[in-house]
Amino acid sequence: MGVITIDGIRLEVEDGKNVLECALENGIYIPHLCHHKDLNPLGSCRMCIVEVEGHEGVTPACTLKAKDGMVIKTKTPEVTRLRMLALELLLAGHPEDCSTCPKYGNCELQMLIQYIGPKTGRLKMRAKGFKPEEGNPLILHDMNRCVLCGRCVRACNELRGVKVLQYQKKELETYVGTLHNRLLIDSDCRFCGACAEVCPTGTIRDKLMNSEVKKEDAIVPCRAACPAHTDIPRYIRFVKEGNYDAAVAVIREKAPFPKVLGYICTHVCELECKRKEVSQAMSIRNIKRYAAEHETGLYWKGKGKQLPDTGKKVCVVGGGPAGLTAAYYLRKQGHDVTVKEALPTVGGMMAYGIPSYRLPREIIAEEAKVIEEAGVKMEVNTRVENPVELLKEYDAVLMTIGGHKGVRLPMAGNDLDGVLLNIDFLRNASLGKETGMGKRVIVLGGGNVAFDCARTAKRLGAEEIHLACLEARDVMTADDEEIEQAQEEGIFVHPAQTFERITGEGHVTGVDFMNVKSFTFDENRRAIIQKEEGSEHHIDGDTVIFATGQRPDLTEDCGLKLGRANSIAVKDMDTDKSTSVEGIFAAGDVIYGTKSVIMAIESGRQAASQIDRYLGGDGDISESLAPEQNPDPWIGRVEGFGYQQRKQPQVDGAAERQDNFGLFDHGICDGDICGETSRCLQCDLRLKISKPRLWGDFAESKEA
Amino acid sequence: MSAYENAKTMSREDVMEKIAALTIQEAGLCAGPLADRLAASLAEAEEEKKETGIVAALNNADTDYVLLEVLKNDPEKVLQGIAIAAMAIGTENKTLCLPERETELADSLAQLASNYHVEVMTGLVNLRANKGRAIIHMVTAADLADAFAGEYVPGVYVSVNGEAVKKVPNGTRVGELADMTDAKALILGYSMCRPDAAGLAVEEAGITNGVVKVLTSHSCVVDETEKRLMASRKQSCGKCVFCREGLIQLQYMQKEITEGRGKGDFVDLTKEIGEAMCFSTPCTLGQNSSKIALTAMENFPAEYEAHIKKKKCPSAVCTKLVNIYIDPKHCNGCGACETVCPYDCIEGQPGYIHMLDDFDCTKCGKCTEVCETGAIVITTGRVPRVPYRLTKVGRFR
Repeated sequence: MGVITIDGIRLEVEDGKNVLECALENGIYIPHLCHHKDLNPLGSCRMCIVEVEGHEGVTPACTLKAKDGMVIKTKTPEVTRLRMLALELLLAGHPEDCSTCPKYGNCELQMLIQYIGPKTGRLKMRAKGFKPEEGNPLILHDMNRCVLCGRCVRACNELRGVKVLQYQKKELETYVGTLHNRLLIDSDCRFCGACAEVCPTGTIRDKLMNSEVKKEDAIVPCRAACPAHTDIPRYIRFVKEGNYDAAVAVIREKAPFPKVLGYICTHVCELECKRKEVSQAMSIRNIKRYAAEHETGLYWKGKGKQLPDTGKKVCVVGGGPAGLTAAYYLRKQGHDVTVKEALPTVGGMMAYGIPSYRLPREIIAEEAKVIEEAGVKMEVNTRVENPVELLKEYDAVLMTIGGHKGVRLPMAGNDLDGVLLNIDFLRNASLGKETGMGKRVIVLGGGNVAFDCARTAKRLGAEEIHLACLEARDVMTADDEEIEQAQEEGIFVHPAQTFERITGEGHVTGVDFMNVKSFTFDENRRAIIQKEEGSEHHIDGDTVIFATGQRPDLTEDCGLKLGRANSIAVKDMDTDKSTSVEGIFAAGDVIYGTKSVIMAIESGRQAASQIDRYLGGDGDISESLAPEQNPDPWIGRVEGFGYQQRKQPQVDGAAERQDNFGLFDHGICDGDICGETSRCLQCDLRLKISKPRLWGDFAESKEA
Repeated sequence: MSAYENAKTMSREDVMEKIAALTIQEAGLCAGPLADRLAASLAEAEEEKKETGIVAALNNADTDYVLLEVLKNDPEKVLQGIAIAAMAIGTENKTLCLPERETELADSLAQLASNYHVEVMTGLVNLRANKGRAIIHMVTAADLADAFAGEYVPGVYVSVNGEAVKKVPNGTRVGELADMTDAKALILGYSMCRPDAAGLAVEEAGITNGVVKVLTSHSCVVDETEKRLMASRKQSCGKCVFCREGLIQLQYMQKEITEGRGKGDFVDLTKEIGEAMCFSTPCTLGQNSSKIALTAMENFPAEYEAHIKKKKCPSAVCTKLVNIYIDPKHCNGCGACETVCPYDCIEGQPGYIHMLDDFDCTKCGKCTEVCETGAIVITTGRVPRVPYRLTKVGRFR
């Protein structure tokens, strides 16, 4: 340790530390451009020059090492003059008009100009005449704006070890680029974004960044897209290391059903994954599944939070993902929780909607057991007709009854014999009961539930199955994978159809359809359908299954105010889940309609937090389970990285799978898991890069 | 015994002591006694926690490469010098760095260099990447080898007007090296000097790149300065603001002056930027390359005034500032000039006085070369009356 004096202010600093950092860390602003806290000092821009007493001339503070007794002046007339000259020179090769630059307002150079105030109009200005490079995924290069601070080069070479970006020279202009101006993907770029993060100007920019999205969310879109905000890059890294226990602990910090999610999550994260811009999205769900299948519970079993009993009693009505999640966290907050489930087992739609060939029942039981073991009481076969009554016995009630009533479209023949509803059909199939299905089945609807119905019918022995929906093939809401697999199993898919009538007298004989020419929505979000004239046709069938949505099985008699489509009305879907009756809350599908398991889990978490506050707790249900992770910023170069393809799960062939309810998707194999996890761009690493320090952040400079 | 073998019989300390006693002056980045340079690099390596080593090269600022002859003439000598310097600081890291374009030379030296475990590379010396290593001039390495072979004579390697490199002993006057008749200016090292610099001893003249060049009345100081700045621009790696942007501004101003668009404030601006460059970059390229402009403007104010104010090039070199015409009294109508003109600026018929339209003329001088009668005149003065239509030879009045 030693004492240095900067502009009359005495600072105790580490010997040998660079003077610029000493100053900045102690609230003294020295302008700088090529310097970045996380990178080796370069000393090329000359913005941070200072005078040292007893030494002739000026010296850059970034390469100056602090020595005990050093007296430094940062604002002498000579320093100011040379600083102004350096910036004036720098700007001679930079576009003059800031207002058209996308970085306007966030540009470090612009702020430096405001602070230093260089002379203008003396020097020869020049346009560098580079063609902006827009052919790369995720990253834009516009070398006309580059001031050659070299931060990106150092970030790529010294911080990341990828060594893609280098100084290049074309005729008389130096610029930053790849060898032979190859595209980034052909130079083995890892698309980590460190270059864009450290660029002080608008030279290297993110393609996806737009000002409406929070920067952190734009940088790590998978985590932002996940309704529960699971820390995806973090658990993928743990899986890569083979630390499946830690990976699952990361998931469990946000959701108590890692394995269920690993099988059936709708994985909106993958839709946002930035990897898809480079080649294909990460197989996030399958990575999660692999971790969940290989963990031992080291970091969470019997660990995590358990507050002492509060003596408060909560009843959760409906044991689906929302209800079980809320029950779990409420129990951890110390409340006495009872789940009342109308069906013979808990799990809700996970157990009675999703067919067992997609999600084996023992997985639900396994994860529900964890919740039971946490002290949640489960009462099955218990249907609650009047939730308000429950308040006599309980301090709070949470309604998570989901949407278990199929919707029968208003059309001719909708009540004939052989007309079934999606939910009833799937539930009966799950329970092993008679479904009432014949041999020739027509499913109406194009979502995942419709395909569950069609594929369940196939497995129950239907001979001919047709699936028809209003939407065109490319806008069908079901996953592509689901549609393709159904077709492989011999199910006929008919997109863009209107359902004219169900034919038959007494019993269904088929459905009349017409082709859809166009299907749009008007400004009031009402559907406008144009049919193709003369396209009427008929498909024979003895069974029709409506898979056109489902609603909560509820009437006004329950004592709660209802909203659209039979939902329970809450004050605010996201922030206030209280219903019209004090003490009764609602969450999951019952408030917003059929969505996904992960949405229900997040909704359940929010409800648990709110109910805890209602019962006098602090509402903080967060848990820290996984061990700390210090990811290595040196990701290195990997040949062909950009071209690496998504590893496919092992799926049984159609002939093997179509006549039974056995699991046919076996996930990613042992040999592929490391390869798949290695494909991750690790977008979150970039968040660890230090933020620029601008003069506006320094109080002392503001006053000046 | 060779110099290196001699050195190998001595202890490391003795080698260092011998170097100190020799007072060999380092001609490269850190001018001064070589022994100090070596000691400083050891201290830097310790402080930066980096490996030390020896890097021998030309100055980054050197765009003439005349001193490369020293290496080409006796590569073994330079390699031995590197090996001895490495011995002195106890390192195995030995690098010989050649100018970027010298890849062939690098390849041809690789075999020999490997005998001394010296790595040969091309490009500028990256100072930041070589922290802790002693960067020395390859000429210093040659001197060192001479010293250990008992043949060292303190002196300076020079190439006069582009001739072969020779070593001249200290104390020799610059004027003794070259014919100074009609000398208008002297380029010594990186500076544009007045002819009276001929009185300097070679070791005081700053000839660190070996360049001694006499400019006669047929050379233009401004044009020469512009060309040298352009060469530096081409050589600059472009990482440091002052070197990159400063050189662009300096070269631009000289170019403007040669083309008659010079402004009065260019003198002050050149001084302001040029002086700042001398101490605002870590390597010699930024530090030395502005000197030519600074010294030219300081030592030849009349030359600049003529270009800027009178729009005249006294040596008739700057093509934009001179006039060209075909003297009707001397033209014999042979047509050679018309054939050779690349821009079709000359018109005429056999036996008629040829006419030159200088609108597209670049004053390339091809016509003057082929004219047997010397009728084509390039002048800084006015153009006399010349014919505007076809006139038979001898008929123009």
